[in-house]
Amino acid sequence: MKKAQVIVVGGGYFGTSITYHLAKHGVKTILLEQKELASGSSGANFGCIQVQDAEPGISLDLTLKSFAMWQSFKDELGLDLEYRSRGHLIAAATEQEWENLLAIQEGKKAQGLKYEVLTAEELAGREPLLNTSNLVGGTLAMEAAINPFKVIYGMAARARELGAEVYQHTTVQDIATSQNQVTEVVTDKGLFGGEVFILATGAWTKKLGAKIGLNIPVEYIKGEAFVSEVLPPLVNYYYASASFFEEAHENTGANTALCLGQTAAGNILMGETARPAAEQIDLDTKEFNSFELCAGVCTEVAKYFPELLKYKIIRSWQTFSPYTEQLRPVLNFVGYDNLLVAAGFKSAAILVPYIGAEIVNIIQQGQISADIKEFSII
Amino acid sequence: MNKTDTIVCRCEEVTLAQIEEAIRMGATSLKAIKKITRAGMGDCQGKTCHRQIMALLAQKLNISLDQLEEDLPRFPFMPVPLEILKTRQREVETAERKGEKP
Repeated sequence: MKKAQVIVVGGGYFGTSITYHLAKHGVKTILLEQKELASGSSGANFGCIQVQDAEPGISLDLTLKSFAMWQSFKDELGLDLEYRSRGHLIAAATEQEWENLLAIQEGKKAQGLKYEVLTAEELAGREPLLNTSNLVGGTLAMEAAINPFKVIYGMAARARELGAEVYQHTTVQDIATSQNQVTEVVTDKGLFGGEVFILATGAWTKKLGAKIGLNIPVEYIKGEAFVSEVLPPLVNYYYASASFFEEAHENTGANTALCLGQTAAGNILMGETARPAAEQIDLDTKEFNSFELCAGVCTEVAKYFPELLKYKIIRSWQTFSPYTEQLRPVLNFVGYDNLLVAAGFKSAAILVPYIGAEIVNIIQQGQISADIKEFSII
Repeated sequence: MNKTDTIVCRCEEVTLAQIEEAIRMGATSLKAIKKITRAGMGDCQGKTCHRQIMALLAQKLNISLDQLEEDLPRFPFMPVPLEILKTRQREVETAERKGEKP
């Protein structure tokens, strides 16, 4: 059996961040990943360091805190993470969406969210390729973007240099417990024992929890997107339809609201249709892109960015993206005295520095901070 | 291949040195190399370079080729303008209106 003080399961944004931060603080840590790093939804997203969509309350507080931490974290690894400031535009297409959007954002102002309110005419000036004739207005906040792969592989590489061990293609088959303690995880590559076990397993969290009698309420939706050929800078902001934020995490019906943004490399990402998946699709089946995605993205791009229709798409992706009912993430000890879960956050990339630092804090103090107590679920 | 400035992925202009660096960083699969270096992310989607990268990976990791996981081709398999998909959507809608099978 291989042993470490902390065993982390899941090689995405949170798992690699936790491993890196623990290693930095001299905590002997092993990271287990069933496929390769960034193979789940952490590797299939727009790399948005996203502030504007956070839920009011503690989630927004942590998001703003982590956004501030990113300012130094982006240079900490000594690697180019393709971090760049980028505006995030949430656009409303109907009077109802506009009213709801303004009301939600107004409520977050007191917590420190800064954004501009723009009319359709003002939007046209800011984002030249945006067809604003179907829009009422939008809110724009300065946020940032990173390359998810650079961040995740970068953290794992530094963690290894600091003494952490990273096992990829290592699947957790069972979790052994004794009374209120997890004692070891059983994998296809052998046993791993530790003092503390952390599940940073996104969409797989519920499945793993079920192995030890826990019902961890992290569900998943299917997300899909298209990648365009490399293009010169055409789009200034990360664009998201206000209806996406209203519907994306609802467990009812298909949703083809548009999200669109250009990467540092020049590819335009567009998607992502989201539809509830937990009931219909097993996590381990190979999924393909749907006809709904083609139809939905085409219709939406034609409506809002008609100039982009002539460019080529070269690739697509689909992923299972974790979410929770009432958008309440899990960041706490769950079920067992030494089992921590970090999963189900609405937007994960932005929380990378915070989650790593907070887990170090929890491991060193032996208890969770007062301000995240409400993320307790059991 | 022994010159480190040899271009392995022509679409994204990724060199042998960059791929070797990705393997040093912990890449153990074709997908991982793609994610770290962008090799195979360009217009041809790795049609030519994947084979070379697989061979290099097998050599560096000292395993046989069949122990490496293949990266499945992904829709749309070749670059297509987005508007073509829109045309296809219209065909389906028209067919549905006429009660035909698309």
